[in-house]
Amino acid sequence: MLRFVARRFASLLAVLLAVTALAFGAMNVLGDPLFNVVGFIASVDCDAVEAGLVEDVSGQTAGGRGDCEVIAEARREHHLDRALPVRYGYWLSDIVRGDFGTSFKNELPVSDVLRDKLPKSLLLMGVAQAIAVGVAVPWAVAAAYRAHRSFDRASTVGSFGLLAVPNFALGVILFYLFVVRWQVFDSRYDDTDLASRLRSMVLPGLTLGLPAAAVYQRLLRTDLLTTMQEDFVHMARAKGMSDRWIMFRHVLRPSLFSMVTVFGLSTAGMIGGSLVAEQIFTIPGIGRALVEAVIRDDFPIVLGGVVVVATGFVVVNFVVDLLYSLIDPRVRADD
Amino acid sequence: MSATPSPSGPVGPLLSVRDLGVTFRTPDGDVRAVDGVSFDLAEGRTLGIVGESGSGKSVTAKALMNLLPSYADVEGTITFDGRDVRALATARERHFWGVELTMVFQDPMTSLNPVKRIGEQIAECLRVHLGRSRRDASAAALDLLERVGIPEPRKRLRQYPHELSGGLRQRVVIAMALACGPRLLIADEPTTALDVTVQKHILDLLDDLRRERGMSMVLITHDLGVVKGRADDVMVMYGGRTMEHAASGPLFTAMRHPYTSALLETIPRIDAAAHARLVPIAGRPPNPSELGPWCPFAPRCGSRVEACTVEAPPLVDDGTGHRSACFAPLGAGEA
Repeated sequence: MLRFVARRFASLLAVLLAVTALAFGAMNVLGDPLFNVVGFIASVDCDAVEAGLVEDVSGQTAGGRGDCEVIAEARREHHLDRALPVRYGYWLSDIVRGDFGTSFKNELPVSDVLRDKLPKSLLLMGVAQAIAVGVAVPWAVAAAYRAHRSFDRASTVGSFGLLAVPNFALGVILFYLFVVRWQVFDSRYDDTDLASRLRSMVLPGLTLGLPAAAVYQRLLRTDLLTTMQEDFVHMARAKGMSDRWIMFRHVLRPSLFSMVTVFGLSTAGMIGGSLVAEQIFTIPGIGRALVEAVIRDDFPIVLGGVVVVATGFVVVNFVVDLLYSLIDPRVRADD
Repeated sequence: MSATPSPSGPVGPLLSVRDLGVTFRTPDGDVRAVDGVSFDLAEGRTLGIVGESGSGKSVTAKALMNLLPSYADVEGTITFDGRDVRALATARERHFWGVELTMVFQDPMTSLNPVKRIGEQIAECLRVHLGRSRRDASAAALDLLERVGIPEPRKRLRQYPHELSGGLRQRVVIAMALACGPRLLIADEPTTALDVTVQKHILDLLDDLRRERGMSMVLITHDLGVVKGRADDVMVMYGGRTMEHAASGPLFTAMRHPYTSALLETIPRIDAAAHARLVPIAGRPPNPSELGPWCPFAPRCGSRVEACTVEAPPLVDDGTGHRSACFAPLGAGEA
């Protein structure tokens, strides 16, 4: 078991290295980091200035220094004179120490921005997944219990309906019904205490969670029906166990694989969905911050966000891998 | 009722089946899997039910266990110790199965729940039906594992099914079935999925356990050799009908039905000449959906007369309890 965990953990680190390298590379190749640090003067040809071919328009930028001085300092400070892999190394070692750099636009440390925005997004994800699982499991069990009967048929229609509605539409519908029409919830994000935060998360959580619940329900129902055909279920019946006991004690656990797998993968989809949900329900979370940062070319924020999101995704799937071995002892044996 | 009780002991029957019929309603039409099967089984005796695949022997067992799917129509009466089994299906009376009547399935690889420890699976019946404490049930499970001949039983209690070989797993299944001390055990091809070397051990174990507990047993097999010397009575089935039913002695020495004889020919004999060819039954087992009012064995039967293809011969008792259904029984010429 320990070896299993160690191996999965090693592959987790490898995935994170690859993702961050890709993101860092893309940001530095596609954009111009110097421009982002120093602004327009990045276009000054300092080689030409040095050679005396072009006049240095000194004093027009910060501190009255020459543009080239500023550029040289920025290059030094941000290691821009080094090769890309070396810069990645510097950046990575900063990140490991918790230093994500500072935002280009407002000079705030990225880690402060993340610390402020991330918990809200995490809470949203947590609420959304809790709603998804909390709805999907009883729903699938009820459908599988009386498969092909009226409830099962109706829930098939219902789940496909939920899947067909794009989440921005679902979000707007929920917003209209519960905020505008019935005024059950406030339109503003309320950050006063945990209870009010949770309350603010109900509608966005439903926006993200209900479509996921529909996916989980489809998968779990199918797997439950497959497991119910197994000999050991007949055996449990032959031992006189009740249908309910068999469902919860024998059928449910071996049927969780597909759902748990998709639970991990759907985290990625939820990150995308949270951009929409945070916009509609005005939650100052990481999704909104990322969208704004991308629009403003604020690379440190984007990179910091990518690292955090990728880490979250990889960690969730790491946990899913561990869950497999909790669900089924044979996974541990294959190690 | 035309069926007469089978040749069992002086004690009243523990299990009494009368005119059992099972029809599967399928999209391609109704399939008559069991047709007019009647038999009695006295306390402490063993009934062997023998037939090829599709003969209806397993469906008969499932009907006794109330394990047939909802698209199966069951007719006839099943009486266990004076109680109408088919009326016991309510949740409150589920403990009838497991405590009074239970079953061992063909494939030990699939009849154990892969995600539950062996000890837990054996103890389940004791905990649920007899309300025994965890410690008490676990101790009982240990005794059972010891009794069915599993080495290192204490270690096995905490193991999962995949950690055991097929033969050991079938012993676990038997221990599980016996946990609540059933009065009747149905063993459906209990050794078919096992290595030949293990088969005899398992059959002997079942026989020993039956004897020491005074339990009754229905032993279902395709192999007449398995029931020889183990069953008190033998019922031969074909195409969902009873072909011949007699006490074990007369059945093997004075069989009447050509099918019984043909089945016996298929068993390799230890006293036959070396390299003697086995005699297969010509043709193939009938497709239950193609059965008609004629004798199901007629197309493959060497003693077929014209009447066989027109109507099915009735099951006739010769006055000694030896029943057979044939228009041209073996030995009829001499008798």
